[in-house]
Amino acid sequence: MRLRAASGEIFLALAFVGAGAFWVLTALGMQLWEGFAPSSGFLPLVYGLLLMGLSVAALLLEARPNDRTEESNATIRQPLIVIAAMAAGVAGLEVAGFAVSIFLTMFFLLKVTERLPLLPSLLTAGGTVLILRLVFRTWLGVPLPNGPWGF
Amino acid sequence: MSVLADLAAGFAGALTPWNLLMCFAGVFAGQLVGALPGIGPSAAIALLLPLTFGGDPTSAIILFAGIYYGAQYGGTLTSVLISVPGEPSSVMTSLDGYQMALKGRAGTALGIAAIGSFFAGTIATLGLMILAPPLARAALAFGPPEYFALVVLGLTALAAVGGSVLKGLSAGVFGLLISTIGIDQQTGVARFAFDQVWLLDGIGFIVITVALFGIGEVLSSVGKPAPAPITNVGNVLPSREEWRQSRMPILRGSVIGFLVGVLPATGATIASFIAYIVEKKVSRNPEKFGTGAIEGVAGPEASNNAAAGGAMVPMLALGVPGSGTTAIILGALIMFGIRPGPELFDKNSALVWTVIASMYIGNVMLLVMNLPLAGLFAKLLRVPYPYLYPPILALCVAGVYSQANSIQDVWMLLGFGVLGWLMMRYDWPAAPMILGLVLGVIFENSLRQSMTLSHGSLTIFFTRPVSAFLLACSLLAITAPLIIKLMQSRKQVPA
Repeated sequence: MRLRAASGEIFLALAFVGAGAFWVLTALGMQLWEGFAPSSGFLPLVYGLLLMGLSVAALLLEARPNDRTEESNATIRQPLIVIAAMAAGVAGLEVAGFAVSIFLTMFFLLKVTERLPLLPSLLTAGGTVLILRLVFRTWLGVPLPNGPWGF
Repeated sequence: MSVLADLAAGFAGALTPWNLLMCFAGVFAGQLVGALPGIGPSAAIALLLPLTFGGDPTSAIILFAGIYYGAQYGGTLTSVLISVPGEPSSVMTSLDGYQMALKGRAGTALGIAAIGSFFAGTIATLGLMILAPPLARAALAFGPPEYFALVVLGLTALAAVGGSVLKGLSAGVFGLLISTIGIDQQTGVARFAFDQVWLLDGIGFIVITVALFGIGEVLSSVGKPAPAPITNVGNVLPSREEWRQSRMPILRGSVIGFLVGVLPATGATIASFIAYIVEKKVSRNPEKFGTGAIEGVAGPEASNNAAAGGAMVPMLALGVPGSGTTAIILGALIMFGIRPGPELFDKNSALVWTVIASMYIGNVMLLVMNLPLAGLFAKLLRVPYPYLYPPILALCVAGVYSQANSIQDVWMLLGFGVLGWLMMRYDWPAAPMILGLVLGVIFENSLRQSMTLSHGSLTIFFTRPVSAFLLACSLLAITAPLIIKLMQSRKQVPA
């Protein structure tokens, strides 16, 4: 059988297979059965085996055909930029604080990635941070991370 | 009489100022997210979960239910005005609704959809009121084997309704697998926690839900070009002739939608497909369908709204969700410490009846909002998506962080968000994964209790009639799509 799935789908299915394999290997080190009933390792073992089998079967039998246009760099580039910006934003949460980190992430996405005008980008990013701070910090009392400047 | 008394008590609860506000907020938010491509009711509920945690569960479920059925109304706007369904359940509406809009009858299409949705929503709520309590009473006799079989049915049925049974089942099993992270409640053993204290409680339902339906949906939508909407809505009230043409499709759609919605995991999308096909079959002019037939809007729209109400029946009475969104509402119930299932009507009767009563009120609100304000909502479609998604991402981060003040949770959010994006991109359904995660603990406990009851014999699942019946239904749910696919592929092979 010739596999015609997109590389992304192969990666996804293999990630599931990998997770299943890890669960199986770890579960084998746990107690599987105790008295009449399954113990801690039984269901993780079963889930792992099922996940491996089902993921491989799904990849071989029901994967989407590889569409080169859809898999082109252009369609993947923007989500990857968003993921990278988010990762930077999350990494900055404890360093620069919630307000600054999220503001910069949003401003980057609006102004640089989406190429929106400066003022609307600033207002959208600033307004969102202000509303979120009011709701979560002031109203719900959530201690959102602060930066060295106290917010 | 008891039902009427319960409903009266429900109305008393639903008509309090706070619950009325929650109901309005829910249907309004539902209408918005239904209309805006790139964010659906599942994502909206996921995003609002953190804000409701610690509050009154009844108000929260009123809000979530409002979002769910409100989104069915909202999805119509994009279907009619830009031929892009805001919701999968509005796909059929776009066939004739958009053609009507191109002919200058956008207002009529939206008007009949709103009226049909109101009737259907009301009929479905009535059906829910009549059907759910006896179903829950009958299910009160359920023991661990029946619960086990019920969870199996829920997972298999939800997995089976997507494009691929195998992908759906994989996602469901992955959700079950994730549910084993943390301390095993029965034995006290830490499983898959990697010596990390923050993993001992497992991965939060909110983290996964917001990641898959919030971040995942945003990543799937960025960079996609948005079509220009038709914003000239015009008169929304249908003429006498148009009403005459629509009333039977609305009635048929309501009945079909409710019945399909009641079946576990079928949901509004399948209901609207069936309603459209039925209308085309019974029409004297089937050739008109696809060119702007008002029956092609009235039937599916009534059907998808009735199905949203119908899907609440198995969710409330049995604890088996009828759709992906109700799977999230189910998770929310568990998050609030309420055990969904047959005992819900008994132990949380006030919650259930208040939610049911709020659905009547919400449908009236939606009708009032949609007829005069359809033009205003249409203008919302002009808001470019690049302005919407950065605030959605920021809300996801703040919401997930607020659960446990944990940066690790935010990293998990990003990781599972990427997984959600890949799953959407390659048509691996995320809803079964949520259901697996939500029902994982109940599944494991009921399996252990059943095996202890039977002294380790698996026959307990097949010798008890209800359990055997539910497992047979599960088997049917998996095999039927595979057999149909096999038969179709054989037909395509020339002799």
